[in-house]
Amino acid sequence: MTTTPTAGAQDLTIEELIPVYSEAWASHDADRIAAHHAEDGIFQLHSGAAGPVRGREAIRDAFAAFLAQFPDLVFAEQELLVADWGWSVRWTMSGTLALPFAVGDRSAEPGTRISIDAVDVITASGGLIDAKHTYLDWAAGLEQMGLG
Amino acid sequence: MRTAEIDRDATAERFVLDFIEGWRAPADADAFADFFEPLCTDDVRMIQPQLPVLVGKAAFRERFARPTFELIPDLHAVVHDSSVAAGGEVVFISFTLEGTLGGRPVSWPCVDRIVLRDGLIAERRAYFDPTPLLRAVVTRPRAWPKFLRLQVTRMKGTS
Repeated sequence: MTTTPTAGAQDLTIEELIPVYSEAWASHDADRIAAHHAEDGIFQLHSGAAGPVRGREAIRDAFAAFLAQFPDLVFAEQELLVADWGWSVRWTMSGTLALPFAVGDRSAEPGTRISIDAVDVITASGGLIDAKHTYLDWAAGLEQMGLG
Repeated sequence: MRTAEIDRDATAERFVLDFIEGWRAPADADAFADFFEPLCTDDVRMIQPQLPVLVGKAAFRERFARPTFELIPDLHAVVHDSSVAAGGEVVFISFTLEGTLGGRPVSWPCVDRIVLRDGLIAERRAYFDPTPLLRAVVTRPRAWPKFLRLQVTRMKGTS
């Protein structure tokens, strides 16, 4: 599958990109979300020493897998700080596990609900996201899934 | 924007410069604490993953700075980005912590959310993935005694 930037995306200022990107996440459409990332962009989830995901297509696949894991994800913005390089946002992520989630030899079952605190640091230029660094309070998430 | 808001924004911008300077190359734990203590409120709260909340300047020096620098004596930070909330009371700073642990380099990215009260740090909440640090400790036995002392010191008198 090829994901291309939304028409006119490259004209967006950072202030314009922020709500459009949030709406893309609210749509749960991985293609729509990835369209706002630069073709050679980076996504890094700072959890469990996961490495960076590089490139729009790989980012799209990572988001699609995450949305499949938690299909009813809701993001509640707590704080938004805009800068000339991008933005930082603190939010609460709530969702229900749809697929078994394994850590080592233990597993959380579908139906488990989590609600965790997180921070994104997002750099953008030319209307596209160059890098998205997500810091989850994953320790709280694992505890809520009985895996802490 | 009103004058008071401009003043708070300027204070927050100055704070970011102080943060960069304080973390650039601290000589040791006490030099680090000497630099940052005047920038903290008396009841400063420090919150980070998998550790108890530390409250007050004494806890900052004795249960954060000293055990941390004992584990990683050359710990310092390279700041990448910062953003200031409208009103200048909240600052996000994104940086990488670097140093030597058990004879080998270690680094991990971090974001601090800092709440300023009258220009001073009232709360610092650190967001980072502790896995790279824990993995470095596990694979470097020379660091185990210091890491154990760090954990014990931080857990003492938890709030």
